[in-house]
Parts: sequence; structure tokens; C-alpha cells
Amino acid sequence: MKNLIQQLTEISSPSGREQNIRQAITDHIRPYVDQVQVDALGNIIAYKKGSGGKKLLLDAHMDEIGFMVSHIDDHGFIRVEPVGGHMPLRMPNQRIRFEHGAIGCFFYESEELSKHLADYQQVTFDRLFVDIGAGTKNEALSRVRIGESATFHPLFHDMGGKVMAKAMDDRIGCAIIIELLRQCSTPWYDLYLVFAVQEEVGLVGATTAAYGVHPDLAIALDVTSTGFRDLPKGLKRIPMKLGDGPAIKIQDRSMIADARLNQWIAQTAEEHHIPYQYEVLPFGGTDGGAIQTTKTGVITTTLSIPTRYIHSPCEMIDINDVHHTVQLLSHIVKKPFDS
Amino acid sequence: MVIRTLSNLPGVSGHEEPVREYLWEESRAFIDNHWIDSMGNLILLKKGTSCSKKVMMLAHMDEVGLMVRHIEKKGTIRFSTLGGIEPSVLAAKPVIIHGKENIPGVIGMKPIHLQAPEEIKSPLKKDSLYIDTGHASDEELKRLTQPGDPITFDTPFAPLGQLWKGKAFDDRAGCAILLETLKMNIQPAYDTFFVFCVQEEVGLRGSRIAAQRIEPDLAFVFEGTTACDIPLVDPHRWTTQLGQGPAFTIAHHGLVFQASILQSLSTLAQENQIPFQWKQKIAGGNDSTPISKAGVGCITGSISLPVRYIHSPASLMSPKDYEATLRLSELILRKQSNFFTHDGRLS
Amino acid sequence: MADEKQLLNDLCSISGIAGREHQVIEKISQTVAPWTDETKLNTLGSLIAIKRGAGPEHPRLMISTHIDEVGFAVSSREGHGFVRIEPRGGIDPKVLPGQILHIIGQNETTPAVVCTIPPHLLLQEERKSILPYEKLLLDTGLDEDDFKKKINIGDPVVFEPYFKALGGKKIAGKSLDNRASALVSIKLLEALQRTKHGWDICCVFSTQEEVGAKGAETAAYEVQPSCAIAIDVTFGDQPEVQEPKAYPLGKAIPVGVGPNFSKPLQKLIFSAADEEGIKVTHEPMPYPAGTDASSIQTIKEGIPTALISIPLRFMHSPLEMVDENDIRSAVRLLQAVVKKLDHDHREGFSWL
Repeated sequence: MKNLIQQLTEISSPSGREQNIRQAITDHIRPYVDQVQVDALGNIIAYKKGSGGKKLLLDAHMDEIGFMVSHIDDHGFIRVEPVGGHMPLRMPNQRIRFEHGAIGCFFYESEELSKHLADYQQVTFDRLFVDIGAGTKNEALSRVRIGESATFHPLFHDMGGKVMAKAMDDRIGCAIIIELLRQCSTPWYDLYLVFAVQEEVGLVGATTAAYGVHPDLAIALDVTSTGFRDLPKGLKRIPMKLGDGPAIKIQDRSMIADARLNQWIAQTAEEHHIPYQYEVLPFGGTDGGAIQTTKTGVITTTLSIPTRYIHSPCEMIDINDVHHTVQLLSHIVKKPFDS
Repeated sequence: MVIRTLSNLPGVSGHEEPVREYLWEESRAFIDNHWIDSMGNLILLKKGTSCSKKVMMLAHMDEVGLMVRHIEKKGTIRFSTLGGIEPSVLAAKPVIIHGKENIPGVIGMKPIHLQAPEEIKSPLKKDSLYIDTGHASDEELKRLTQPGDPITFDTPFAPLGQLWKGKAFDDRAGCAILLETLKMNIQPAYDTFFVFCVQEEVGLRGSRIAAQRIEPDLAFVFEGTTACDIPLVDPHRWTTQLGQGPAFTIAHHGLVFQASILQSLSTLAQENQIPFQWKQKIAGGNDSTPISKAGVGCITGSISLPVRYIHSPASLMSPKDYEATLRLSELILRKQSNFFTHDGRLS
Repeated sequence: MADEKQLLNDLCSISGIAGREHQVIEKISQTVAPWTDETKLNTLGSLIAIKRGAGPEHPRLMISTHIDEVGFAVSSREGHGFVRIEPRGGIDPKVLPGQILHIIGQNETTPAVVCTIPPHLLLQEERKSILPYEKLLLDTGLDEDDFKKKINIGDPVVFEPYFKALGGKKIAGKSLDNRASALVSIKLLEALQRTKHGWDICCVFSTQEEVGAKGAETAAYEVQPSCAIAIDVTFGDQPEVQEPKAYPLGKAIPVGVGPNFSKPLQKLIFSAADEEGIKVTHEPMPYPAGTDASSIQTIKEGIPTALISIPLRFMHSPLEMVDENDIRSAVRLLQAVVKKLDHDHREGFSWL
């Protein structure tokens, strides 16, 4: 499992540029499914036949937050635009890797010594630049092109019980679905496995994939934040914790999850002695929000993997939460839901 | 001149009728079928040699403007903005209220002499502005206009140096390009839907239902976009520059454009010596987002004419960009098969 | 009006935050069952109540009123009977200190008080700031055993029900946004028993409006009406909110004008009002107003949509206020619209 997580998180595939991760995931799932399709926007929609005749859509998004090259100046310094939700304050001194392999680091504009700290505190992407060590515009252009995509530089690290990498959001969801397919023989549900594009810029891929499938039930897999129970003086409005099991979504900014489905999932977890927690998140959203309002509506929830430092190069998860989520899903797909 | 006429026509979001009527009259001789839907989108079909694919070419008819909110006893009019307008560009500008008849007015404000020192220093607030039509009471005015009536800037189209000056280039420029392309009477390879849509400026709403109706395989959005190539601003914030040709969007709010469409567009332009530029910032969004997300999704390209001082009473654009965009638009229609591989998939 | 007031009281007393509306839906379903030909539940829980028209071919009018209310969800259980909550829908946290809330558990409802610090003990800086959600706790007074049994994470939390008829035909209560409008739909269905009509009238009692009009969106996809009217509350005039941003209670029914609304349908409503002598007024809305009308308009190939408003004071607070005359006028207005649709648009509604 850790090898799989390492392989998936080390691939750079920001929103809209998912070709590499799409290839890797397709290779992994092909032996275990009946059909693999790629739609117009680039979503993978895989199908595995079940015995019960109802459709369950499992979604994980395969894109990650990243950057787009917007400008190169005469001295070879590069300006980038954020793709997805970035905090500019986290950028200075971060390493960035471009689509065609160039590596650079972020720094910020600051002309007056007395304002050096203030400039940092108020930094925006307009005031951030990337240094790839090029001396001239032409040298920079030989390595990086306008419009080229980039991501954080990957640095996977296995810490034993915990694992740290960029793009856990949401390669961990992708890894869980792949592992589920490896373990699960015949599901009750007809499974539609969606690896969605462009979640980070506005739930784009899940919208069209769900429209095409129009499932009876849907579960999105994504990451969620942790707070005061998990970190020294962590956020007080966030009770989730690493190691307490998958978090069943109750609400976030994109969705009020279906209460009946949540109850059924919690029951399933209890029957099989799988730990779980609930998630009430005051911000953020997942593909579940887009799937829920498809056509006449879809019974939808999200299972979240508690993750520290989301949208940074150091996203950290607990491997037990991952195993427990796979376990829980393997029971869910075998048992009809009755509201 | 098509762009002159279109720029001068009034058509804020929800009140696009004058623009639609003009476009319909001008284009009706060149099309095979047409629809006007419940929100007022004008959808025109130009049949292709094959009906196996559907291509959509879209521009929005609406412009930003104001809306009558309340008519006060002493004859002044309070308004809301309709679309993203900074109050700072409104002070002391001429406008036209489109009620039962056209009522000219000016946006009034307190003279600088009477402003408190802190008022002088702080940006204008929308609530401190009002429209003065010269009417001394609400009696006459209430017969001519009512809350909800649209208001446009009164800025006649005219050349300005090497450029054009006018209101509503966002997106009458796109409408003009598509109308002129349509009138070339080219038969495309595939069924092509020219869509002049409503309500882009209030949430990208018209294009959404048009795309849900058509469910195209491939779509092109023709837009007026921000150009900020002025000396006050560092070049990396310019977004686009006037005179450098149409701008192709790589990513904007809510959507990253597919690498394949960017490749096809830039190759088409290069092979035909048409200048183009990349839109350099993600700022803003357009109809491409709801179109891409409609139904099971489609591939979309966004081609924009750079416009300085967009969403203000007086914007500027370059005739050179217009010419280049028109040539590109013609080529997109003539060479539709460039965008598909030989086995009919999108390349 | 005595029966109506009792019904409204009943509707307002039931708790139904976004996503957990089933009890409200059940009550409405029972109430309208004798007056409708068919009732069904949409996937997201909205009730679709259909009163069929006479004759074989029916164009269809959808009338949408959301029945969810703003509230909270339990986000975590602290020790000693204390609970943390997160808002569901837009609520001003300033109304909360000292407020009694009801936690709706699986089997029973637990009242709780929002903690406050006595004025004697307030620090200077605490006095100046509003209580953020980080510092907001509910006190259930329960001992540990009871607490664990009764309170679960995700349980809905609502304002304590209150309902009272005040002077000047005013009614004060919880969640009059938007149960007052739901009453309009219910009364319309009742009134239609006494008249023949050609159109199918589909009253949708929609869920999840307060979190993005999701119930109406998915219900409209199911109903596929020829045109739709949403009824929702708008700002009533109060000392600090006056014209043009607010509408006087009990004077005239505001009808939305702006890009969100179909001009022909709007015109039909104004002339229907005119013919029946019902007072209406323009409510200009430059943007889609975040009501059911916003999401209905762009369903599929588009649905001509209108919005009728009931002026309401103190929106999204534990106590809201409406005028019963407005409820009555709105019912009459809709009856007039149904009549006019039959008369002028027997074959269906055309938007040109």
C-alpha cells in the first residue's frame, strides 16, 4: 500500500494536466474491472459488474493543486499563477517542479529592509517569483514554457505509522479505490469508479462523470483537516483526528451529506468493528457536492481521510485510516442499502 | 460597421433584446435553423457536410450596466450595478435609462468642495451615487421608468488614435466576430451552432442552458478579456496586450483548458501567420466553464479580444486584434476537421 | 384564519434544518394529501404534490417553496455535557448568547443554553468582540451517561420554537422563513378544490434551499414544468432597513424583476394582479437572488421562472415576523395566475 501511495503521490498532475496520473491509475485498475473509459474532460470512468443491479459511484479526484507559468522576465525569473487553493504565505522557499522537469524555488518581492517582514506577511502571487537559476529570458525559455504546469516538488517520506507526501489530496482516495478493487471479488453493486479531473478548480470532472453515470448511490473519497484533538493548539472548530478511522462527512461548504446513508455506513462499520469518526467541516468541499445535485439528485456522502497540513508539500496521513477505509468500503459494496 | 452598431446597442444582462434582434435580422439569410430559448439565447444552426459532430461557437450579448432600484421623491434615481463594476468609474458619467422611452441622465455626486477630508481620501461608495435626469419630481419619472429598468453607459463608438473606443466591447466584439464569420456563408465540416447567449455577466447563466440543449462535442467561446498593458502596472500583471492578436486562455476561474485544444489552436494560428498571445493570468472566468461542465462534458477553447478598461464606461480595443481574430474564426470554421483525429475523436 | 394560524404554528414548531427536513415534509404531505392527485418524494427529500388539471393534455406550473430552516449541527461533544456546533445556513452569531436551542436527537429533543460569561466577569476585550464559534459552547446540563446516550455528532440543532399572533395582523415565530410561503402553497392547493383549472399545478416543498437551493434544483429536473414560480421571503421594513432595500409588511406583494426572471411570466403575474385588484410591487434584483428561482431557471434547456416574495422582518434570527395579509394576498395572487394561465396559455407557456 505504501508503495502505491508513493508512486501515485510522486506523479505531478495538477488540475487539467492529469495525463500522467491517468496512465498510472489505468494500468493499476485494468486487471480488476470490466471496462475503462476516458470521457471528454479526461475523467477515468471504470465499471465493475455487480450482482444487485444498482449503481454505486465511488469517486476520488486524481488532480492536485499546482501552478501555471504566466510570465518570464528578461533575467529569467518566472511568474506563476496558482491552480487550486494555495496560501501564498506558504510559498517562499518552497521547491516547485515544472511539467518538463525544471526545478526552482519561490521567493517574494521586497525592496525595503524595514518592510521585509511585512512584505512577506502580505505576499500574493503577483509578488511571488520562481527562480530556476536561469540568467536570461532565453535560457529560462529553453527549460520552461508559458502555460506550462507545475506542482510542489515531491518528497515522499514513510514515517512508520504515518506517511508524508505532496498530493495526498487526493491520491490517497485513488489509492484506496485501487486497493479496494484488488481485494474485492464480486460486489453487490454495479461499481462505477470515477477518477475525476479538475476537482481543485471547481469540481469540474465529477459534475460531468456523475451526469453520465447517474448512480443510485455515490461516495466520494477525499481528505479532511484535523484540529485541536490532533495537533498542539490545533483549530478548535475541527475535532477530527489522525488514526481514529475514516471520517463520515456530515457537512461542509459543498454538501449536507445524506443522513440515511451516513447512518447505514456507521452501522456497517460497527458491525465489523471498524473505527470511524464524524466530520463537520466549516469550510471546503468535495466532489460529493457536485454529484449530489446531478439530474434528479443522488444519495451521496463523502468518506474522508484525516490529513494534516492539507494543500502543502507535507500532507500527512495515518496508514491505519487508509486500511480501515478500504475495509469499510469492501463491506459497503457487498451489501444493499435500504433507506 | 458591425462592431460600431453592436457596441452602441443597449443590452445589459436580462435585457438583451435589441442586440438579439439586430443579430437575428443580419444573420437570418445565412442559417439553416434557429431557436430562441426561455432565457433569450439566440441559437443559429449552420449545417455541416456531416451531422456526426456538433460544434458550438459562442459569444455573449449582454453587457455590464446598472439597474433602476428606486425613484426618489425629488426625482433622483438610486441604482444597483448589474455585473462587476467598480463604483470608482461611475462618478459623473452620462448614462441612458431604458424605460418606456430612453431617458438620458448623469451620475451625480457631492462636489469636492463640500466633501469632508476623509471623504476626499476614501474611494467612492455606490450608495452615495445617484442618477440625475433633470426631472424635478418623481411624478413624471414614474410614468417613464420603474424599478428594474436597465441603464447603460452613454458612450458612442468612435476611433481613438489607432484604437477603437466604446462601451460593451465585452462581449459585442465576440458577437461581431461571430456575425461576420457567419455571413461568410462557409459550409463547415460538422453541424455548427452559433450561439449568442444572455446573462454571462451575472453568473454565466445563459451559456449553461444553451450547452445543455446542444450538448456539443467541441465549443469555442469568443470573448472580450482584460488587458492591463498600461505603464502603471508591472508586465507580469498585464494579462493580455492590445495589438498582439487574439488571446488563448490556458486556465481561468473554475476551469483549466485541455492541452490538446491549446495545441490545435496555436498550430492553426502559426500555420496561417495569425498573431496570437496566451492569456497570462487566471483572473476572471467566462462561459467556457459552464459549457465544459454541461451534460457529459465537452472540450472548449476560449479566444479573447484584449480590451483595456473593461467593465467601465469607455473601453479600448485594437482593430488589428479584431482583424486577426476574424481570420482565426474563419479558419476555425473552415478547418473544423483539424480539431478531430481521422477516426473522429477529438485530437 | 384561526385554522391557518394553527397550521402555520404547527409548521413552524417542527424542526427541519437543511438536509433533515423529513418531519416538516411529513406534516405537509398529510395536510395536502386530500387536495392532491399525487404526492411523491424526490431523492433529496423534497415533496412534489400534484393537482392535475382538467382535460387530457396539461402544461405544468411548478410552485416552489423551500421548507428547510437555518440552524446548526453538533460538531463535537466536549466533556461535562457541553457541545460544540457549526452553523448550517447564514446565521448572525450575535443572536446566540443566552439563546435556547434544541438538539434534535435520534429519539428525543434536548434543550440547551448557549453559554455566556456574566457581565461582572467579562474582560474588556471580550466585551468588545462577538463570540466566535471557537468560543461557543452549548450547555445541556446532562450528566455524562445521559449525555453520551442522547447527543450525537451531526445531530441537528434549531432555535427553540416560538409562535405568537401580535397586534396589527402580525405573526412572530421561528422559521417563518419559509414556512409562511409553504402555507401559501398549501392554501392554494386547498383553494383549487373549488375551481376548475386546465394546468397541472405541482407544488414543490423543497429541501436544502439554505445551503444552495439543491432541493428545488433536483425537483425541477424531475417535474420539468413549462414555467415555475418560487415563493420566498424578502426583507420587511424595520427601523434600520427601509426602502429601497426593504418592503413594508401587509401593503403589496413584491414580484422579482431582473435577469433571473422570465419577462412574459413576470408580465402575466402583474396583469393577473391588476385584474383581481391585488397590490403588487416591483422587486428589482440585479443578480440571481439565491432563492429556489436561481437554480430552477437554468435546469436543462431552461425554465421560465418568477419569484413572489413575502416581506419578513428579522430574517434568519430566532424570531421572524410576517403579516397575515401578505399570506392571504399571495394565495389570491397565485389563484389569479393559475386562472390567467388557463385563459391565455391553454396550450402551454410561450416565452416569446
